[in-house]
Amino acid sequence: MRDLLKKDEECRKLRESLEDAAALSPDAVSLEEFLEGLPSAQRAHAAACGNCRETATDLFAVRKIFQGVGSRAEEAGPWFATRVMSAIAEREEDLVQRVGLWNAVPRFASRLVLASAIVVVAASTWLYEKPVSAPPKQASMGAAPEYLFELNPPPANDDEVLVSLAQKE
Amino acid sequence: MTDVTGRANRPASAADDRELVRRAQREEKEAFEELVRRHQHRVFAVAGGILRKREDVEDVAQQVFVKAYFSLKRFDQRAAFSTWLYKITVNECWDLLRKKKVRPLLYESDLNEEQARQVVTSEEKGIRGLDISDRLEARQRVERLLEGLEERDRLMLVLKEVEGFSIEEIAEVLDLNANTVKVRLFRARRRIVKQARKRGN
Repeated sequence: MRDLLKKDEECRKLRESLEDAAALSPDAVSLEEFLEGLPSAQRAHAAACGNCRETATDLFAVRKIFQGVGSRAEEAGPWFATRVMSAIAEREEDLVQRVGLWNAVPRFASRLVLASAIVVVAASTWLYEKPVSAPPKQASMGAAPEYLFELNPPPANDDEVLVSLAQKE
Repeated sequence: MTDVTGRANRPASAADDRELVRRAQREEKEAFEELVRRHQHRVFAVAGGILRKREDVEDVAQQVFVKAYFSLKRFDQRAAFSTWLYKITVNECWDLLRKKKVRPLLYESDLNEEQARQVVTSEEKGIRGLDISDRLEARQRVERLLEGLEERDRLMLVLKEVEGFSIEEIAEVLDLNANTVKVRLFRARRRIVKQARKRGN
């Protein structure tokens, strides 16, 4: 049990040191050269422990895989800071305009309230004093309806219906 | 600035930044412009670790600095300015990805002539001794291998292996414990190596 714990501790230590060793030997061409940066006890552990050996191999292999991939940092050109500052100036101008608009509201608010009050008073006075006119009579009340497309006017009462039916027969 | 290997240089010291931040908080634009110049390369590096399209990286980087400028008064300097800035960068990138939902891969054929030239020029400055087509091929190969990784693990690997961030810096950017970063890096490496072997790389 104690041996297992000790081995775990050694593995953990080696993994931590591997990152530092990797940083110290950026140009290592082989795994052995890569591991040379480690203390001898850890090198011996790396040789004996399969898992740690695999970890070291992965680290070295990934470095090889990433070799030649250029950094994106270089994409920031000398013009970039100027571009940022003009974007900030533009945004600030926009904000100032918006704030100006909101500041105008309270300035005009009192005038708007006064004008609205005058309109309301005038309208209510006019409505109060306006004479009530009688509703217009409906001119067509008693008149018979007119039909545009019928040749004969519709019968006025039931007798006429009976008479018209008798005539047809 | 970037060093000879093309990696983003270490950010300016936090103490230097502190005074610039104080001045920028008093609305001194020159101070903020200096902060932009100091941190732009690393912001590009972090954004480039998440986003693939050059235009997206540029847009996000600009958005990050504009956002930082307008939030600067609320920044109390308890954390380093760089950490705060990189966190904004990561969040902006993930927001953009959420909006876009899909992440198209960037291949050489996706670039127009001018963009390809810029990529090539930037890489020419960084990695010497490698043929241009080799470098583009290397990037494409790595992009394909990274496809199988989780977003966070992908970013960790790129920041570590390409941009030269330390474990502590990655932990700060991603708000994680340094040990968690180490463990996740080891797992991510293992997956990448397995993928590479499967594909015969």
